[in-house]
Amino acid sequence: MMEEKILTKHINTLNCHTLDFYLANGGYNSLKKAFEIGSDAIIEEVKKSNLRGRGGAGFPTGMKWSFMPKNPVDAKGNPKPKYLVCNADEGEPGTFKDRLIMSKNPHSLIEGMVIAAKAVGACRGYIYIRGEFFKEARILQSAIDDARKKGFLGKDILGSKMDFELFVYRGAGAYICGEESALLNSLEGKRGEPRLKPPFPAQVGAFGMPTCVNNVETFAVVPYILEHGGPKFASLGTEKSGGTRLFCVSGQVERPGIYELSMRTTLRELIDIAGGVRGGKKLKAVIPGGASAPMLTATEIDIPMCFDAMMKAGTMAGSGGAIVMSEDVCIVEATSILLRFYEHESCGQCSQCREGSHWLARMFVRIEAGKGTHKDLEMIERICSNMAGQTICAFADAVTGPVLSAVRKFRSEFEDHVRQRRCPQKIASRTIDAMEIDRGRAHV
Amino acid sequence: MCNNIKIDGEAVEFVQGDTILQAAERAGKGHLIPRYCYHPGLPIAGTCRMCTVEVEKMPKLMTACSTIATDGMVVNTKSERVLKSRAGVMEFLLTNHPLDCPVCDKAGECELQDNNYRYGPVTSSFLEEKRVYSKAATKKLSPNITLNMNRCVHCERCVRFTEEVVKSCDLMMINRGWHKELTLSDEKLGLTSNYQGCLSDICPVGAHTFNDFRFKKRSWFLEQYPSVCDRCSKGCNISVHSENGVVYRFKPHYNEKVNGHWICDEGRLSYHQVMDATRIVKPLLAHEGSLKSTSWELAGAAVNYLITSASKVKVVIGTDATNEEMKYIQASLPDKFGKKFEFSSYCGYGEDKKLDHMLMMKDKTPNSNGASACKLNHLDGDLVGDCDVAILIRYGRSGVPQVKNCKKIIIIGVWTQKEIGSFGTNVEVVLPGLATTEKSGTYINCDGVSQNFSPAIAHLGEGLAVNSIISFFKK
Amino acid sequence: MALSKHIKDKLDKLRPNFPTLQALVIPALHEVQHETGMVSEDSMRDIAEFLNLPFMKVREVVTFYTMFNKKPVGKVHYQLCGNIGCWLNGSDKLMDHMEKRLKIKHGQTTPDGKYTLSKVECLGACGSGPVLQVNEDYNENLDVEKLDQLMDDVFKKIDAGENNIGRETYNPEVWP
Repeated sequence: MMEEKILTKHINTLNCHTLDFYLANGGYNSLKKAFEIGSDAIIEEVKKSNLRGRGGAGFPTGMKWSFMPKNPVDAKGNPKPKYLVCNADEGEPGTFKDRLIMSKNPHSLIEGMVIAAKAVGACRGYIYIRGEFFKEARILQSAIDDARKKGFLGKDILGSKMDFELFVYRGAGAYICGEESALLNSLEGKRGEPRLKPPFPAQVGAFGMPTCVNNVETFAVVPYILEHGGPKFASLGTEKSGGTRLFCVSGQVERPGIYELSMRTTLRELIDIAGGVRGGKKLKAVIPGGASAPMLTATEIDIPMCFDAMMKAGTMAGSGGAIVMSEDVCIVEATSILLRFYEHESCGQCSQCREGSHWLARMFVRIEAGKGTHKDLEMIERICSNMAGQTICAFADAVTGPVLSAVRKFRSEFEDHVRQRRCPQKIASRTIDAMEIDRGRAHV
Repeated sequence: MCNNIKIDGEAVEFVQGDTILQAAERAGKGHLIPRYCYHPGLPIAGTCRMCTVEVEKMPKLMTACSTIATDGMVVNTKSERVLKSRAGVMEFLLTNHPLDCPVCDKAGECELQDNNYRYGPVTSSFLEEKRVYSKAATKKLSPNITLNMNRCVHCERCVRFTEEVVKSCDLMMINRGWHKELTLSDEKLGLTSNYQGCLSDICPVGAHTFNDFRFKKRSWFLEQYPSVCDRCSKGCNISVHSENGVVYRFKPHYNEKVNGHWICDEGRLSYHQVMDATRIVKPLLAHEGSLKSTSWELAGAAVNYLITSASKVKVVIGTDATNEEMKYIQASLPDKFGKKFEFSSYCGYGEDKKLDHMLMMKDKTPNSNGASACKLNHLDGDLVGDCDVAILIRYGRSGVPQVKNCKKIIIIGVWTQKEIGSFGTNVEVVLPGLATTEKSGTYINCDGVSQNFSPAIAHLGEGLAVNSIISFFKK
Repeated sequence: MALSKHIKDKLDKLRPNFPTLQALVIPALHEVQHETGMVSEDSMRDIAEFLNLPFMKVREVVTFYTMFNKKPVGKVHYQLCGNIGCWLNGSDKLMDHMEKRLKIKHGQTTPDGKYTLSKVECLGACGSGPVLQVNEDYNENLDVEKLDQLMDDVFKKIDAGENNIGRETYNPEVWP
C-alpha cells in the first residue's frame, strides 16, 4: 500500500521550502477555499477530520478551536483581540519533526495558521520557536516575509477583509516552555512557568487575551484537510485519530529519522521501517511517544501508534517520537539520563516536581553506581506516586512515566545493580557525574 | 440567594468569587487546610500544592487556594488521598530543609514545623545530600532582615510581597527547578522597602528573620495581646509580643479597614521607645536646681501649689493622647482649679499626608483626628508661652513644643530624659504616664476610623493613667 | 554603557509586534548575546531601562533560560547534546574526545578564550544524533572522525580570523 504523504511529499526536492515551490504544488489554494466557506465550516471540516493535537496531548483540534469565544469583550465592553500561537518549542527528547516542517515546508505551517486564524477570528499569530533553532527561525521568517509580499499575510488577505499578522518569537532554552501556558508566559517576556488553570488560554491566554495554541504539525496539516476534505484525512488514520503523522525514530535503529505514516501503523512496523534495531541486536525497550511516555518492552510493541491504543497499553502516543533501545542498553542508566534532563528542566514552581525530580535523579545516579538498596525501589514508587497528577502542569507526570515503567518492567535490572553493586551491563565507559547535577549544569 | 459548599460534611456559606480556602477561612475552618504559598494578603500562586483537597466529581486533587467555590461543591479535606498528598509535599519539602530547628528563630511559630507535626512523615527516607546554598546560609539582606536560604521552601510569598504589595521588586528568584534561589534583585541596593519586617512575618519558615528579634526570645515564651500602633496617624493594628511586661516585638494584626496584614518597619520598631531605658517612669520634682524622684503625693502637692498660685495656665496636649485622656483633662482641670486654663493640642509634624501607597503617614502621632474631635485647637506655631504655668502632656509620639516666657513647666506622660532636658531648669514637676501599649483608650486614625484598645502589657514603672495622676492634684 | 544603536533600532522595529514592552525582553537579550557573546549585568540594566521595567524582571528571565550566557564564552561555543537520543549513539564518547582535545572539562572555557565546551540537554535533533551545536549551527550524525574534521575546520577558521563561525546564516537586517 502506498502511504499518502501530506507533509513530507516533497522534502527531498531542492528548494522545497520556497514560496514558488509551494505555490507550484497547489499551495495557498486551501486558504482561498477557507475564505469561501467561512469560519464555522472550517471548524466543522477540522472536526470531521478527527485531527488531534500533534504536540503530545492529542486533544481534538476542531473542538479546541470551537472553544475560542466568538466575540470576546473586556470589562468595558470593548472587543478583545484574539491570538493564535504556534508551539514550535520542540524539545521533547526523541521528537524532532517540527524542525523538519519548519525548514522544509514552512508555508504549510503559515497557510495552516492563516486558516486557523480565519476559523477562530484571530488577528495576530506568534510562532514560538525554540531558541536553538537559529536556521529554522530564519527560514520561517523569510517564508513569512515572502508570504506577506504575496498578500497571504498582512492586511486584507486575498481580498477577504481579514487582517492577520504573523511573528516569529524565539525561546531561549527551556523545555517547560513547550507547555502551553508556560509558553504564553515566555511569550510575554516572563519566566516560563506554567500558569494555574483555569482560566484556560482560550479565555485568558497571551497578553491576557483569548488564545489558541497548537503544535506546528497540527497547523501544517490543516491546508490538506481543507483541500481534500475532513473525511479523507480521517480515513488515513484510525477511528478516532485521523490522518497521517510524522513519527520520529531515534536511538539504536539502522535508519533513524522521520517517517510519515498512518496512525494505524504499529510500533513494530515503525521500527521495521526504520531498518530495525541496529546491528541486528535484540530490542530491549522503546519509549514510544517522546521521553515522557512510559517505556514498552520488546513484547509490547504490536500496537498501533494512535492515541487511544497507546493509552490502552499504559503509555502514550505523545509527540510521536520513538526512542529505540537495544539489548546493550542499561535501562537504569538510560532512565538516569532522562531524569537528569527532567531535573534540569523542571521550572521549580511546585514542591513535588522541584524536589522530586531532583531526588529521583540523585537516586538513580546512586543506583547506577551500584550504591542502591532494595528499599530504593519502593522509594521510587512512592516518590512517583506523590508526584504524578499533583502539580500545576503535566511535567511531574512526564517525569514519572518513564521512571515507573522502567522500574516496573525492568525490575530485575535494578535488582542486579543493587545486588552486584555495579552496573552489570555497561555499554559506555562513562557514568553520569553526580557532581554534574549538583552544579545544576547551569550553562556557562 | 444562598451559596453553600460542603466542607467535611458541614455546609459552609461563601461569597461569590471565593476560593475553597477563602470560604473555609470565612467559616472558621481555615485550619483544616494547610498552606505555604497562599497568604491572604498576596496574589494566589498555587505552587506549594500543600492545600490540595478532594472535590467531588473532580478526578484530581484540587488546590483549595485557587479553586473557585461553586454552589453545591463537596469538599473533603481529610480523605486518605488528601492526607497522602500532604505527607508527600511535606516529605519533599523536608528533603532539603536543614534540621536546625533548635537554633532557628522561627521554631515554635513555623508553619513547616506545625504542618509536619500534623501531616508529615515521621522519619526521612532521603539518603542523598541536602541542598546547600553556601553563599546564602546566613546572609544579611538589609540591617533588618537575615536570609537563611537553606531553610527556604520556595513558596515565593516574599517575592510576591515585594513585587505586588510594596512594589519595591527587591527580591527575586533566580535559576529554575531545584536550583532556584531567592536573592536580592540588586545586590547594590539591597532591600529598599519600609515594610521589611513583613517578610519575616509572611515567611512560613525561618528563611527570613527579623534582625531586631533574632536570637532574642523563643516565640513560645511570648504573650500576645492586640493593640494599636501609635507611630503614625494610620493606627495600624498590632499584636504586642511580650514576656513579663517586656516587649520583644510588634507584629501586624489583621484589620481590613486599616492596615490589612501589614505594618511598616518604623512602627514595628517603635516599641523600643516604650522600652527606652531613659524613659522617665517615676514622678520627679525640682529640688535645688535638679529633678529628684519623689512620691506621687509630694508631686501632686507641688502641682497643686503651682496651679493654684497661677492666674494663667496653658495646657498643651500631644496628639498622641487618647480621646478619653483629652476629654478628661479638659473637663477635670477647670473643675478642680477654675477657669484659668487654655487648652491646645500639639502634633509637631505639620499637615498629614500619605508617604507611600501603603500605610505610612507624615503625621507621626496617632490621634490628630481625635484632638479635633475633642475640640482641641492646634497650638499656634511651635511655641507655648506668656503664661504662669505650662502643662505639657504627651505620650512619646508627638513633637516637643518650645516654651517661652514661662518659668514653670509641668510635664505629664511618656518622656525621656533628653526630651525634658530641652527645657532646662524650668521643669518643676514630671509625672510619668502610660504608653499606648500600657493603657486603654481610643484613637481616631487619619481615615476617621475610631479604634479602641486595651492594655497589652503591664507598665513596669510607677507611671499612672491620667485620671489617677490628676486625682493627686487637689484632694 | 548603553545598548547599541543597532539593538535599539531593532527593538524599536519589533515593538509594534507585541502588545507589551515586556515581551521584548527575550528578543533584546538574544540581540545582546549575539553582539557581545554573553549577557552581562550591565546589559540587563540597560535592557530594563530601555524597556522601562524593574531590573529583576530582566534578571529573572536571564537566569531562567539556559541559552543566555552569564559568563563570557569562547569565540566558539561547542554545545554537545548529552540526552538520550545522542547518548544512545555515543555522545558521551565524543564528549570525552572533545575534553581531551580541548584540554578542558565541559562547562569550561579554554584559557586562550577561544573555545567553550558545554554539555546540553536535548537539542531537538535526536534522529541525527549525536549533535554538536557550534555557535548557532547544528552538526549532526557525528562520530569521532567527523568530529575531528569539524574541530580542525573550526581551528583553521579561528586561525584565519573569521568572526562568524557557526553564524553564517545570520543577517543583521532580518529578525530573528
